[in-house]
Amino acid sequence: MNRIKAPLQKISNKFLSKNSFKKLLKINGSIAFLMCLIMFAFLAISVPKLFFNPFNIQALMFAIAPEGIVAIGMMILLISGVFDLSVGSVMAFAGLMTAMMLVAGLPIIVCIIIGLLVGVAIGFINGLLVEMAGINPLISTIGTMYIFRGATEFLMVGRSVDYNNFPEIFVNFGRKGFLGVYWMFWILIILVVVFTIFIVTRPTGKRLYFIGGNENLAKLMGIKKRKIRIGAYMISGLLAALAGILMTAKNDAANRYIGNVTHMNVIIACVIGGGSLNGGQGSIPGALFGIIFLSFLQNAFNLFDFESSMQRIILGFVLMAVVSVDGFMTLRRQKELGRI
Amino acid sequence: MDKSNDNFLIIDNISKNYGVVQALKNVSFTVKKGEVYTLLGENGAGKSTLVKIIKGEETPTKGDITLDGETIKNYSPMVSKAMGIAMVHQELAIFENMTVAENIFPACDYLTKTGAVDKKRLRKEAQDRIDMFGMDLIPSQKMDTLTVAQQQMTEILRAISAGSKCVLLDEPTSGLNKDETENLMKIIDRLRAEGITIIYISHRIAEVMHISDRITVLRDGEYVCTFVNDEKLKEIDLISRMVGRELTKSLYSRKAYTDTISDEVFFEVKNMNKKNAVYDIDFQLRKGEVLGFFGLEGSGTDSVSRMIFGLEAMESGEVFFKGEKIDKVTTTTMVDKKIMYINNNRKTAGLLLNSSTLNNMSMPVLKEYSRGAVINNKRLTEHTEKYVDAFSVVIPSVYQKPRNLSGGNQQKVLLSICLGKEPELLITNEPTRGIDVGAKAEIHKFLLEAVEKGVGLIVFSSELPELMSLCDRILVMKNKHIVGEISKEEISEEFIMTIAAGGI
Repeated sequence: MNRIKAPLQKISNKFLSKNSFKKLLKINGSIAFLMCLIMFAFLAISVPKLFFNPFNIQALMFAIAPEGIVAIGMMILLISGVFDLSVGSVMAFAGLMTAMMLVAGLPIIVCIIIGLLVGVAIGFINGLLVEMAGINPLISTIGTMYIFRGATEFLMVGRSVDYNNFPEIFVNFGRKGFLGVYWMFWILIILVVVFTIFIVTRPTGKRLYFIGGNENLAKLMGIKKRKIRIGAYMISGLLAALAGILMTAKNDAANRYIGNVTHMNVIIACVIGGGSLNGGQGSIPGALFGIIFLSFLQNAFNLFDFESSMQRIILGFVLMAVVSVDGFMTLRRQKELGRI
Repeated sequence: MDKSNDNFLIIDNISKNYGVVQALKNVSFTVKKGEVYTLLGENGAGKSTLVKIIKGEETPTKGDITLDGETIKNYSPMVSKAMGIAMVHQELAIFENMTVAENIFPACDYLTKTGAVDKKRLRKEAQDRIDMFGMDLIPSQKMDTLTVAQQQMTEILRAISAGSKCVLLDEPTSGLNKDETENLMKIIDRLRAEGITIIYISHRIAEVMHISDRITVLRDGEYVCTFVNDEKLKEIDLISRMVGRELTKSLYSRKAYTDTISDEVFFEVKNMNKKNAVYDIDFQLRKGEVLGFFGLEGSGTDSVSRMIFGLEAMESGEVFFKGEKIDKVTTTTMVDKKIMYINNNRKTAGLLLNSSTLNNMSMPVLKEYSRGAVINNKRLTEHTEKYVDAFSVVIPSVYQKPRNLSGGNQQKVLLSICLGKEPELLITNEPTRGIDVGAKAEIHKFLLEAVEKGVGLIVFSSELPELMSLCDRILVMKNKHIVGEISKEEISEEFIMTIAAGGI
C-alpha cells in the first residue's frame, strides 16, 4: 500500500500547494490573461495619452469583437480535437450574402438570418467532410476556405452592382453602441458568457473534452462523437458568419478581403489562450484573452509607429514561446511520474 | 436453483480469423453468475481476442454468444454496455485531460435541476467508490498527474461504477507492482462478494490460482480444458496444459551448433536499467551463437529489444559490439555498425506498405547504390530482385506494394530489407508473428542460413517452439528482470514456462 501512497502524496501536495502563482498558471488560459495584463500595463504606463484616447479604444473594440466571436467557435472545435480554416472565407461570403439580400431590398432581419444560415450550412459541410467522409480537417477546411473565398471574389469582381449603401439601421448595428460600447462588443461579451456556461456546466460541453481527450474511448463510452463534432462545426460557421455580417455593417459595404488572415490569427490566439491542436483542452475565456493579447500587440505597434512587418515576427516568437513552455512543463511532469 | 439461469455467459463454438491466421478455433465454454472466471494462456493464445468478442468490440467469424439466457444478434460495445458488461483494457483507456471523477462517470449522468453537470454530486459519488475499495485517489485530481497504477485503478472504478453485472479484466496486473496487485485482488474479492461476474485474463499463475473460481486454459486459439480451482489444483497442471503442444514437424529445427560457438564475445550488454521498464539487464552473445529472449506480456522483453537498438533510451548501461563500446546507442549508429532490427509490427513500424517493394528494399542501402546524389536505379533493382529471388517472395514485380502481399510475404520483404544491408548482427522481435506455418519455417531457414554465414542473431519471441528451434540459449524475463538462463540441452516448454509464469 505504501508504494501507491508515496508518489500520490508527493503529487497531491504539489497540486494543493500554497504557491498560488503556480496554481494560477495551471488554470487554463491564465497565461494569456497574464500576458494581456502585462501588455495593458505596458501600454497604459508608457503611452497613456495615446492608449486611452477614445479613438484608440474604439479601434481596439472593432479589432477585438469580430475575431473574438470567431475565436469562440474555433476554441470549441479545438477542444473537441479538430479545427476550421474556412472561418475567414465564411465571414466574407456570409457578409456578401447578407449584403446582396439587403441590396435586393429584403427586410433586414431576413437578410441577417440568411447570412447566418449560410455560415451554419458551410459549417455543416465541414462537419460532414471531417466526420462522415473522414477527411483530415486541414484538407477539408482548406477546401471550403478556397471555395467560399473564390465564390466571394467571383460574385464581386468586375460586377456592375456595388454592394454598399445599406439601410441605416443595419449600418448602425455595426457602428453604434450602448453605454459607449459597440453592439458587436456587447454581442461578444454575451456570447463569451453563454458559451462559457455551456462548456463548463452542460454535459454536451463536457463531452467536447472527452472527445478531444480520447476519441476512440469516447465512442466506446457511448458519446455521440460525430453528432457533437458536426454540431461544433456548425456553431463555428454560425459565429464566423455573425462576425462577417457585423463587419459588413460596420464598413457599410461587402468586402472580399474580410477575414483574409482571421483563421490564422484566431488559431494562434486560441493556442496562446490554452487550446491545443491535440484536443481536449482549452477554455472560452482563454480564447478571448488570446485575441485581446493579439489586439494589444497590434495596438502597441501602431502606437509606437513600429515597422508593422515586425509584428508577425514577434507574434511568431510569442506563439513558439507559449507552446514550448507548455511542452516543457508537460515533459517535466511526465518525467516526475516516471512515464518517460 | 434453476441451472439454466445460473449461467451468465455461454460462448458457443466461436471462431475468429484474421486473414489466413486463425486466432480462435471453435472455442466453447460457460461462465456462471457471480464467479471469477479466468482465461489462462501464453501470448497469442487468443485470450485478448476472446474478451474483445465478449465485449462486442470484435465480431466472431462464426459462433454464438448467449448472455443472460439471450442469444445476441448484432452484437456491439453498445449492446454489451446495455447488458451490463464493462471492460478494463490491457492498454490504458482513460481521458488524460479530465479529472478522476469525470473519468469514473464519463456519461455525466448527475445533473442539477437546471440541466447542468452536478459537479459536487459527481465528486461525492466518485469519493464513495474510491472509499468503498480503499483506493488512494482524489476525485478532483487531473489524470495526467497520476501514476500508471493509479490511472488503471481509475479505469477499474469506471468499469465497476457503471452498474455492471460483469467486468472483463484484460491483464490488469501487467503494469502493477506487487502491492498494487494485492490491492487489486482484494477489490476483485469484494466484487465477487457483491455478485458481480468477473472474467479475468492473466498469465501469472500464482495470481490466477489465488483469485479464480474456475480456470480455462487456451492454447493457440483453442480451448484446452477447464479446472475448478480447489486445493488439489497444482501449478504444474496449469503449466503443462498451457504449453503441452507437439513440436510441429514443419518447423525448421536447428541442429546443435554448440561446437561451432567460440568463446569470443560478439555483442554484450552490461547493467542496462530504465525505471519502470527494465532492471539489471546483463547478457553476452558469443560468436556463432543464437540467443533467445522469452517473457510474457509486461515482462520487459520488448523494451530490452528496443533499447539495445536505440529505439528507446536507456537510463544507464553499456553496450559493446565486437569488444568495442558503443558510445551513443542510437538507431543511426547501430545501422552504421551493421546491426539491424526486425520490428515486431510490420504494419505500423516495419514496412512502407504503400511504397513499392523496390523503395522498401532501398531504404537502408541508398548510400551504397548511389554515386554522389544520384541513385543508380538499375543496380538497386538488381539488388532487390536478387533478394526477392533468394527469399522466394511471391511477387509479380518489384514495383508491387507490400500492402497487397500476404503476411508471410511481407515478413520476407522485411527480412530482405534487413539482410540487404548485409548486417553482422540481427535483432529480431517476434520475427514470425501472425504468419502461417509454412512461411514461418521458411523464415526460420533464412535466419539460420544467415547465422551460418556468421551473422549474430538475437531472437525476442513469445512463441516457445520458435525459440526452441532457433536458439542455443534462452534468457527468460519476468517482472522486468532476467530471471533465468536455459541452455540448448535443458530447453523444455514446461521448464521455461515455470520460470516465466510461476511464483509471484
